[in-house]
Amino acid sequence: MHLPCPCCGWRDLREFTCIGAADHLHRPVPDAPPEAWHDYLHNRANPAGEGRDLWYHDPCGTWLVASRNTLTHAVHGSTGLEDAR
Amino acid sequence: MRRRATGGSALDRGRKLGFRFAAQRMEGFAGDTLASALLANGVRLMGRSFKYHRPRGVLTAGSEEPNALVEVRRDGQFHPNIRATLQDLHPGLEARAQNCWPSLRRDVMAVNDLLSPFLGAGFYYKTFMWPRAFWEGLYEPLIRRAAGLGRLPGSHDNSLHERAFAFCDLLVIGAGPTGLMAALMAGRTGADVILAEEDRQMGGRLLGDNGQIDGVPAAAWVKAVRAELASLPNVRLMPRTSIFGAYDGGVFGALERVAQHLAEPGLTPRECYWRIAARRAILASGALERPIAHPGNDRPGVMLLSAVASYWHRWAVDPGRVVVFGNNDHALATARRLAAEGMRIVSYIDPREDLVASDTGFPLRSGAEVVATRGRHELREVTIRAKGREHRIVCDTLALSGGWNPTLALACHHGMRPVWDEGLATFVPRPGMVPGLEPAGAARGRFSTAACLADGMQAARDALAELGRTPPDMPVPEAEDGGYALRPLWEVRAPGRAWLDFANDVTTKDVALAAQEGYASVEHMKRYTTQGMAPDQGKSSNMGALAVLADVTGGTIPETGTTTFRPPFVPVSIGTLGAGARGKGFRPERRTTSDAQARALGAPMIEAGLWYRPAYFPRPGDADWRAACNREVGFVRNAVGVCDVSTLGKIAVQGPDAGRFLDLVYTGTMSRLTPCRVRYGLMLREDGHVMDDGTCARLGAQDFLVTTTTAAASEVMRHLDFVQQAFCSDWQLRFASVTEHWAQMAIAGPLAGELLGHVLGDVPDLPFMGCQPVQIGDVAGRLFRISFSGERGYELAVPADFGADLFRHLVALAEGLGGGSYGMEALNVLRIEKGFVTHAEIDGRVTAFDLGLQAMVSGKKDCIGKVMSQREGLCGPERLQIVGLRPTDANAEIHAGAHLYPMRAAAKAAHGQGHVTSACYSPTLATWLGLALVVNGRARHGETLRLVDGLRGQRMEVTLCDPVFFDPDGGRMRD
Amino acid sequence: MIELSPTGAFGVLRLPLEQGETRLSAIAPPRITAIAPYPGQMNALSRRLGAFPAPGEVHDGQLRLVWSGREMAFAFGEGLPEGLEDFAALCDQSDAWAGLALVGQDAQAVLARLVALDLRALAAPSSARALMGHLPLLLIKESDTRFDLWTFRSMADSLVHEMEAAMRGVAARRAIS
Repeated sequence: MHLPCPCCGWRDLREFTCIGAADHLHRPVPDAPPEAWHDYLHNRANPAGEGRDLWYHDPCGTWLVASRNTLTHAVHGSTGLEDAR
Repeated sequence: MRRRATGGSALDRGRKLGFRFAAQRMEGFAGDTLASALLANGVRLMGRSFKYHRPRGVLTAGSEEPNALVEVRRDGQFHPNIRATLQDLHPGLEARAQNCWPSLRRDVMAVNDLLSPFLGAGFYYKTFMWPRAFWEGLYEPLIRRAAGLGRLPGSHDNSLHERAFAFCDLLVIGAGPTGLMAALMAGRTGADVILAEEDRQMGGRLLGDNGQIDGVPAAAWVKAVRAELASLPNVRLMPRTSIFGAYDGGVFGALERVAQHLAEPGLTPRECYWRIAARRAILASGALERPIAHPGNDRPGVMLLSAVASYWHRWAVDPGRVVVFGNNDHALATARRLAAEGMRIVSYIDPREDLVASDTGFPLRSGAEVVATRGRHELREVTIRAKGREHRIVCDTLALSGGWNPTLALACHHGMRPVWDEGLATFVPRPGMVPGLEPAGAARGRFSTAACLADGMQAARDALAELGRTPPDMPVPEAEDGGYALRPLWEVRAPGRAWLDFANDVTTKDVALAAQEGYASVEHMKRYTTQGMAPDQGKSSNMGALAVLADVTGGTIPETGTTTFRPPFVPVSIGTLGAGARGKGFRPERRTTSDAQARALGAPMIEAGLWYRPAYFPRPGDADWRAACNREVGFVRNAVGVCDVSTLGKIAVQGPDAGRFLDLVYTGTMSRLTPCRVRYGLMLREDGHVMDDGTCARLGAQDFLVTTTTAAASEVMRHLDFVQQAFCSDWQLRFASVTEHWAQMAIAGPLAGELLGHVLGDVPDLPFMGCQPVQIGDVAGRLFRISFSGERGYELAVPADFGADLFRHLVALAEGLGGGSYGMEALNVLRIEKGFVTHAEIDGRVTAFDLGLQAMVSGKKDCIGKVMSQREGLCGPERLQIVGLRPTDANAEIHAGAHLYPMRAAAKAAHGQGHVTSACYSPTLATWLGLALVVNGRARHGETLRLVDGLRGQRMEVTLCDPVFFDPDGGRMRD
Repeated sequence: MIELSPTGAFGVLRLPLEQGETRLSAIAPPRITAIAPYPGQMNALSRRLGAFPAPGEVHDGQLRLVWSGREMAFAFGEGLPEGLEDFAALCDQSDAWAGLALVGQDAQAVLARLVALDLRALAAPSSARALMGHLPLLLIKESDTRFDLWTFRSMADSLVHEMEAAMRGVAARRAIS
């Protein structure tokens, strides 16, 4: 499997670390209700199919959001975090 | 070589090679495989079957071979399960048969064959059920001894293996007529092409074909195409390479046999594990002929017709008197061709009643079937049944052709199923089963040579269009375009055992039995009978077993369905998959600049992540490691000790917003730190648990230096990158790891200042938790006054080029002051005495509250993890909190991992009060000490608990106390 | 006061190494300064430096500027213009990296054993960050037959080990073909 790094282009999977859904980008304000924090941290839709998840390209230090399909394993593309939110 | 005819396109008759098989000396030619050389020497018994130890000979001429698995010995080592069909002959080759003792011809375990009525499918499941007491002592050893094909070498595999990566525009899998045409067309456009072929020679079925292509013999055509491909710099030919898996994103796993065919491989790797990333791929893997399940079809001398033809054409193996048993026009045409070339075909047997043919050169029996074979170790005669009457034919070889199955496994590796083709009576792949991989030619049921050539070109055209290249104008070469009519014949119904899976000894009756006992789904049948689970993965038996199962259950074959195709398509040794990852190649070693000195001092090194650090520095007369550790603790408590702490992560955080950023990632307010000051810092994960601790030094107004623990350095870097890129990418700051640029030495003890005076010229006037630049001659360094030991402590950093020399000086100076170097063991004792935490305590489940550090979470600002750290359940009396432990008996050894229980309660999980995280013998306090996480621990100082160390069988009484055992007010490190 | 003398990253290792058609040698360490432009300061920084390398780029001028990671370039050599601090974080990395030059006809074949990187796609000169197994790598392609490989100083020994094993295998293959 290969993923596109916004800096380095398509690279082998072994250069990346995944931390899960891109929901983790939407950090609530400190006084948001606990539900908002739990949604941010723990509650995930885990869709079978199209999804967006967070990956770290270890060699260059870039975080990215990859759009891919968890059923077919097709990778459609990626963006850096500044464009992802 | 009594079975050798003239000719043989693969042979170099000028080079005779000597080899040994089953302790017998034999001769072959360069170009032989072990299988062809054995056949040429008249050896047809090549192995014993797995379960019944029946005599078996070679069935095929390719990687799908189920029977002829041998051990190949070299340099005192051997490799099991080598297929004789893939092992090229080399001078001095030494091979042995498997699954037999004492010899191939007299195998005592052949008695199993007599017991076969009791050993059918499911035997193990039924027999080894009861009594339960026999499971471990009797049944398991029995099953283990019987399990597995071949035997393990029992020694380390010392052969060299290699891994490699390749990238291309187009990967063509298979170099038969389809693959050659596809590669040629794509190669001519300048595209990067890899043509992978399992065989030593390119050409596929054309190597065993005397037909013509474009008016020249097929072999000459292959030679010309191969030469052109070899001349193209953009085409890489990879012979002896099996593509074994189709993975995501156009990545293919490939196994190249590099040195297995060499008499003297030298330093050449035995095999290479390639990962090939291809933008497009064409599956031109051809088709495999299938045998026919008739009684006695496993006797040595029974082979596939295509294999007989291959051995004849490529290796000039004379099969003797041949009976051909086929059910299709291709088989008949092949028999005619072989007869015309001089092969002694004594009869052609075909179940089709309406078959008419003239001028065949051999008797043709239509409406006939083979119902039995005879011969002790090899075939002597066959019995045929025609129109209800049986008679025997004396022969040496029985050539089977039950039709052809496209080699479509790779197309199914993403989980898609093939479709049934009624006309071909087989499964064929659909387009798009693996994105970017398209089957072509025989791999999708286009069986004639002409159809393959045309299909290869079409597949190349399609791939080139996807690659944005214009295909060249090329005519389709003219070639044989014969039809392929067949009548499926899955099973000959006659008394006796008809074998489906030769490798695992599965008969048609076993499949029927499985269905009868309720294992009627194809996946259940497979597991119950073990059909298709041998190294050949059922390449020659899956289709037949499926058909028999469909028949027994009354369904159609497409209704019955196929089992799942998974990588690897051919067996791949673990040694090859792990190529390079042995010894020093297992993982990198990170060495500090003082590493060589520590080793020279005899220090045993311990691993911390990838780093190596000295455990302790032994001296003559030390009773054990603890003597050295106690001495080194004494250096620090009484004089001065030196320790290389370069492995701690160091991150430079710079810019106008650096302080603001550190406020976000640390629990404390680093933006208010004054320049030249250092502060202890805690980083939390967003879920409220502690991620790491360390120090933060302000070197200048916009210049901070953050330290991390050794183990968490890369995790912290990744975390900082995330926070910055996700939440504050427009803030004016940047950070970079400077861990490797600086060598950093801890200097700790009452005489630390005096030692520094010798290093720097005078004793620096630096307050506790201060930092400043220093100059050592021409070398600019940094000095921090921090302490992880509880004594007056400094850390002195210099550029890494000077690290080795600095360590040498510091150790010499320390020794002059009655101290010396100290290792990780002493460092650990010193910090436990002071109750300082490490990742033994920060285990990913603890919060700042648990560590008693909740006051470090600033109430005045937000930080990562703050909200969650204060949620219900993460702070409160129910939490495991850090405490100190003292055993009632000061000499009772405490070890990390022991659990704590109330004095009178049973040592059960339900009564658990917590566990020991760190422990040591404290020479300073002359007692064992421990740090522990205990429920509501801070409120329970003074309470006595029972410590139970299940692993070491220890029980003792301990008293809970404050975790800071030594110098609780910290005067020694501050003054 | 003590006086300190330097030790190179490859101090005890036997370099250069030759295997078949490739040669591996240590690169004399230059001054390396990491330059990381602050957000929005790229243009101002580029004006002072002449140019700032985009991902994968290497600029050869008075200084060599090598793209070395996200929002970062390494300046190889002395003579960095004054006053860059206002636009970028500067960081001395001279002692942090150990460099090896791999030269020869089979250089690409050797690297294909070690790095999951499509070397065909790289211009010369250009740079790439990658992993060699678990070794972090800054790879600079100088030409089809010369690659410079930089890794963390602490892993210099492991880098040499990996390189030597791959070189040996490729040389042995060449010997049989």
